Amino acid sequence: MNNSLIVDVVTWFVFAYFIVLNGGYLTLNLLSILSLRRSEHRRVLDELPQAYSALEIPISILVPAYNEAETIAASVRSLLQLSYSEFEIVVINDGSRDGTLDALKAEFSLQAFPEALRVQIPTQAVKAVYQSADYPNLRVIDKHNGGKADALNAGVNASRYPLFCGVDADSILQRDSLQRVVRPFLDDSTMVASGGTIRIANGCQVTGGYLTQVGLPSNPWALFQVVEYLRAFLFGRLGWSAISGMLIISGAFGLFRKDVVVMLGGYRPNTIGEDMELVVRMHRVLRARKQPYKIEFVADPVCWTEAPEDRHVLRAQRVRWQRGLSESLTSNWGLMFSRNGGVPGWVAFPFMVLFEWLGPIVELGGYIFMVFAVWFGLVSWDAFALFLFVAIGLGILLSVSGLLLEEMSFHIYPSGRHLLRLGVAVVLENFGYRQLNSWWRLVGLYKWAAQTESTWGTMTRKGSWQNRQ
Amino acid sequence: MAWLTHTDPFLRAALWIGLAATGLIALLILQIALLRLRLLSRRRRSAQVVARWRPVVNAVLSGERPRDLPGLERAEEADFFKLWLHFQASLRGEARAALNWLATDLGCEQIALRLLARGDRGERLLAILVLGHLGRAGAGLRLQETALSSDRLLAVHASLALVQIDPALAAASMAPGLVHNPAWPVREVVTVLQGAREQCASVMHALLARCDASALPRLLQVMEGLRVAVPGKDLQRLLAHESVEVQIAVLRMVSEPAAREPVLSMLGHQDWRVRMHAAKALGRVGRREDVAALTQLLSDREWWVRYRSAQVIAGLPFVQPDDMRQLAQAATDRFAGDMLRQVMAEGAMAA
Repeated sequence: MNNSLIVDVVTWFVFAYFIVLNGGYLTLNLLSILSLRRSEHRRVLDELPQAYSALEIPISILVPAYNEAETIAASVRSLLQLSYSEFEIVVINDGSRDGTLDALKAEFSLQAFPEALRVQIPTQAVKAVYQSADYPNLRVIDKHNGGKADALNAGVNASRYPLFCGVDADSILQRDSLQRVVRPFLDDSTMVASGGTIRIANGCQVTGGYLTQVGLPSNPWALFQVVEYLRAFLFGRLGWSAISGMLIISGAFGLFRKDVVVMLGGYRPNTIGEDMELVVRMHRVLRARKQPYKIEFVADPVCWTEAPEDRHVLRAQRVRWQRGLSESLTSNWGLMFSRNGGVPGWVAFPFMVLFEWLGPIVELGGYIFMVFAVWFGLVSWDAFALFLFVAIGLGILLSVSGLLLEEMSFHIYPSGRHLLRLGVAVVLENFGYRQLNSWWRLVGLYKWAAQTESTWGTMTRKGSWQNRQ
Repeated sequence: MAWLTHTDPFLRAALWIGLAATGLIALLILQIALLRLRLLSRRRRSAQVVARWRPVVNAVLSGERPRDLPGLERAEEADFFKLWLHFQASLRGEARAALNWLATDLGCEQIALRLLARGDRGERLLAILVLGHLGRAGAGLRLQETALSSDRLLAVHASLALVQIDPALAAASMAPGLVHNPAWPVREVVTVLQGAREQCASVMHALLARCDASALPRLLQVMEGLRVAVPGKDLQRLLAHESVEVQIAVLRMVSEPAAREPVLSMLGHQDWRVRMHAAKALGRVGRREDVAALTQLLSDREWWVRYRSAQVIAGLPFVQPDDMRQLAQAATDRFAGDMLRQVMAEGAMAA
């Protein structure tokens, strides 16, 4: 085989890969537009004062906490103010070593409570259960450390209600988050899970645990992530949801039907991507059983989270995410091309494998190959320039379309200046940031393959946007 | 150069794709800018409508009846409706009547009927909400058509509007269809029919007499949601029904002492959900001597049966905290003792 033929084959492969990848994303984009247009009229109702019909399904909010002494009290206080007819909060202290439990005891007048725990999913031993004397709907489970998935399982065991909502301890929720995310369950009795849009809180003002003013971060890393999140949620998940192929519900805020999760054996312990793994497993098992079910995405922004503002923390996060993705996919191979796989098994799962999981190899491989080929004179500078033109052009197109969806639907960012800054970020993130992300994802793949031990992800939080009052 | 010629198709395709992407980017940016401009102008217009009409609404709410009301312009209709609906949703009693007077004087019924016939989805929804609050029977036919449409959002709100306009007619004409339509979740059916609860009772009882087994659980769930009691003559028959779902649905509604015997016999049912609901029902219709049967359930293998039984025992008017403590101490089964202690602690916290 001569060099020219190898170059041709590789070039066409990389080219075709980029085209199919971006074609897939553009298709999701169109599906999202249709979905958003369909739901926009409901906002007429959202603008009117809300009355409870007393028919809402009660929800247990599970808050796994590990070394969150600084922020846990404020987080729980904001959760207590959520606007919903009936809900309970179960904080699971996963063997914290920093006084998380003491902070909760002091803030909420916790008293030891003789709970006859219903152990449906095995977990690390529970040391004690506490009940707040001030808030009847707040309990704290104190258990030995077992990781986030194990903490969530303990929360599922302790929860009293038919739906549970996993919330990260540092999540900032909209006051009406539960009302919005529960809607799919009210509309369809086969609903087993729903998730909402997560937005970046950096640059926003937060008072008393609630977002009071939307803004954009000045830090470029965080700003790029704002664009990324628009892309991932507004056309990624919304598009997949439109064709019943959503494989991810963010652990920061997702609502699940408890009996189904218990039937599946709960969250898988010792995984990094426990949120995605559970959803993929739901698809796999329920499809194998031919049980009718639905998993839906709510486009409304319901949850805000702090994004890493420095490269090292961001790198660690992305490495962790890629490892989580790897675990989720490889432990559920049975879904791929399965007899009753439907959209999840025949479209979403293969797409995830090909473009999200193995994507970094092809993307970086493509760049590296082109550089080498140019270096050795196998490819002309014209061809190289064209390759960059297409790759970066399509990347910008996808990001701009995410911005368009945001502008079509929620107009979260109020001023023209915000829009202008996002526009600049949309372009700039394609010159280095996305390639760097691919590199980190590749590292994540390697670390997953090397089977390094997984633990709670450490996320250095600055909370500079927090105005604690 | 030879290579360039060889891969020409690739280069050409790449060039065209790149150019197409660049063109699309430019178009999308233009679209974003236009959307933002349109949003700003829409917000400005809404603010103007509110600034113009809020004082009028406030005056009407404070008891005035201005004779020379300004006319409602076409461009103002949707924003005025939103303002008017906001007040309708926030106020009660005479204030609503005053708002209806204002809407009638401005010809809102005709406007709403026009929007319902020819408006976009958002305008149609606004029109439905307005017609519901106005409560004019003349809008009934149009709303009935919408209530039957495949657009659930519009259908649900049209049904609600029909109930607002004429509860009796809505109960007679809609309730059977809604109960038998599995596309409508039970919660939605109950929400729609809640405004016609009293009128629904006779309709539900008639349905109960001729309902087939597959539709019974759903009908009973709707009845429970509407707090429509099961007639005594049907109660025994339904408690003895072969379907577990029917039994559960009926047990949730049992409140007559006459049902005590069949409920007692269901405490040993093989399905734990039946046992749990039987325990709860016994709490409503049982007697002092039934505590022993409930105490046995404290050792049930299912957590929820133990929990509900303990709650029922704790909630009985003749059971004092000391009795609960004695019961917990005397329990030979660890699970029973644990559950009693949990329920006692819950009671102490709530006190």
